[in-house]
Amino acid sequence: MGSYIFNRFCYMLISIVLMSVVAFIIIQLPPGDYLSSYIMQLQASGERVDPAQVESLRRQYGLDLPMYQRYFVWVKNMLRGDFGRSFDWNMPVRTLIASRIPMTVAVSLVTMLFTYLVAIPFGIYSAVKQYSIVDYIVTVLGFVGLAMPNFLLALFLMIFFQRVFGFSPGGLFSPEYLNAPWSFARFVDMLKHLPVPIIVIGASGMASLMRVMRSSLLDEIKMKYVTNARAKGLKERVLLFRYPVRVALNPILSSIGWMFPQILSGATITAIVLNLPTVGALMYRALLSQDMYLAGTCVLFLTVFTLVGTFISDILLVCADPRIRFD
Amino acid sequence: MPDTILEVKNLKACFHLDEGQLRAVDGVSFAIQREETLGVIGESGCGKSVTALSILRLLMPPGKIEGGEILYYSDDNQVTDLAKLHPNGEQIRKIRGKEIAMIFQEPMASLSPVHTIGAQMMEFILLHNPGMKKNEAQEIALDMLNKVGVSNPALRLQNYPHQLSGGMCQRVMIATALSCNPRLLICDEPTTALDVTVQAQIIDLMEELQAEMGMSMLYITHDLGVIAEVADEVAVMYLGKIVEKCDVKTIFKKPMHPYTQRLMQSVPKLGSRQEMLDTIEGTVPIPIGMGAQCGFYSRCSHAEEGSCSRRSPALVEVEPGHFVRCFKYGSVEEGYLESANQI
Repeated sequence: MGSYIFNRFCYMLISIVLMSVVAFIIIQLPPGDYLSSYIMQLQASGERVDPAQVESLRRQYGLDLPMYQRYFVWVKNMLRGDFGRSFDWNMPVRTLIASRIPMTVAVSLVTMLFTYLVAIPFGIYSAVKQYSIVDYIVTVLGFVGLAMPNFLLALFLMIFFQRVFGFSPGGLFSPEYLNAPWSFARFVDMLKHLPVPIIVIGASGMASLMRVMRSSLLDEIKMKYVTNARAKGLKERVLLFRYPVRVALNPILSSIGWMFPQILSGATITAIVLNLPTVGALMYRALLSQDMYLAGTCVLFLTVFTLVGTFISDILLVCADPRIRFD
Repeated sequence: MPDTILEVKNLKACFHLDEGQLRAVDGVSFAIQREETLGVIGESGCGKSVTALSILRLLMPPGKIEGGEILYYSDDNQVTDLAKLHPNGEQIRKIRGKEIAMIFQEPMASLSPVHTIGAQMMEFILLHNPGMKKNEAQEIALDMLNKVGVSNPALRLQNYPHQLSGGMCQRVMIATALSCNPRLLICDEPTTALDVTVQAQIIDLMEELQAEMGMSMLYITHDLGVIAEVADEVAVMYLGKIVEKCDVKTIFKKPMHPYTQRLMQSVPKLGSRQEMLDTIEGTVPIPIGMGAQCGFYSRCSHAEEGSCSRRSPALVEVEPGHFVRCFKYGSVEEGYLESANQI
């Protein structure tokens, strides 16, 4: 068990290194660099650009070096905690990301928690009462949630909240609390703003998880060991949760690996629509303006979250399913 | 004190499918005596397992018991009609496992893959012995595993089913089933999934344990050799009906129903030079929307147009203790006796 976890951890580290190369290549792929888009901006506003000045800027940012050298400089600096400078925001990437990571992770975790808390019970119910009215309702809602684009749902809910509760759920805070220090009132204000992003971001994940839970439990309920346990005189409810549900949860555990990045990336569009201070929106803007260090760091962070999520779900699966061998 | 422990009367079980009503068990009656073994034999799809599941009310939708009685005679001479109980109710749950235990065909699939053998055994011991301490339950589990010949039982309690062989799993199943001292053990093809040597060991073991614990058994199989070894009384099933019923010696010496005779002929004989196995042609028809006719009509070499194709024979006592359902032995049409009695 210990060696298995160690092995998986090593694989994860290797994957992170490989992914950093890929992330770096991807952000270098679009033609030009930040300076060329900066120059274009200046030219568009009618300013004259001195080629010598451009050249010196290029050297200053290390953009004249070959790609592999730039990669190593990037990695070396990151290991020291220096993620480079955002050209666009004109401030260290570290500061920018640090201010958004806690909110991003918080929103994602709460969304995940909510997703599982809703999806698992409804999945179980619609499997046990297959083809009942509730099963049909849950299934239809699930498909709607799966099919509807995030941003559309976000717009609907914003209008709904505006009309019914009389406040705009955009952002995580009302304007008056935006830059205020933490207080109880600010916390309550945040709670008021949370439901919309959680529902919007969680909707599709919830729907697919519910389907996974339902079909996985439907398979398990028909298994011989369930009949056997029933033949021993166990109560239906005890039987259900102790045997088939317990086994059917395994595929749900493995979903943690892909749920986390799905929520983070799903949050990007939602974050733009709802104006949430998360990493997703930041990354989108950075990619558009070729703000390479910022974009690279964002991509890398999302990758690391994905890999850590997979690592955690792998370990959980090993704990939950004795049939998985370590050797 | 009555000698009967279980009496099934005119049991009917159906599956309600889109194609129509499938009559899996169509008026089956038998009785199991104390400390005796009733062997039920028949090929796949003849309703053996559905009969067994019906007794413990384990038949799941679309399957349903449509009629008949399943009378269980408990130790204090109380009679319970299991067919009338709620399938998930408290009464049937008290009988399941404690009074009537059941062993299934595939031992590996019958154990939960994510719980240890010990956890599964102890759960059932504790369930039927409220107030018992965990270590007492573990003692019983160890004791039972020892009894069924599982090597290193203390270690096995920590094992998961996938770490055990099929034969070992079936021993665990038997140990679990017997750990609450049931009065009747229903065995639904317990050795079918095992190889022949293990099969022989398991059958010997079960016979030993039956004698030791004084249980009755309902033994379902399609293997004539197994029936010869374990059964006292034999019922041959075909298409949801019992076609012949007598004691085990008679069935092998003097099989009467054409189906039983063909079954006996299809067993290869040791020493005989036979190129081809003698088989029964065709397959069991699907009992959906079949009119009145003998179920074996389509495959029977003695079938007569007219009588066998239009009327369904009743099970009649041809010789003392030997019941056959065939017009060849002067059987009357089913329902005839009942209507005659009413007049």
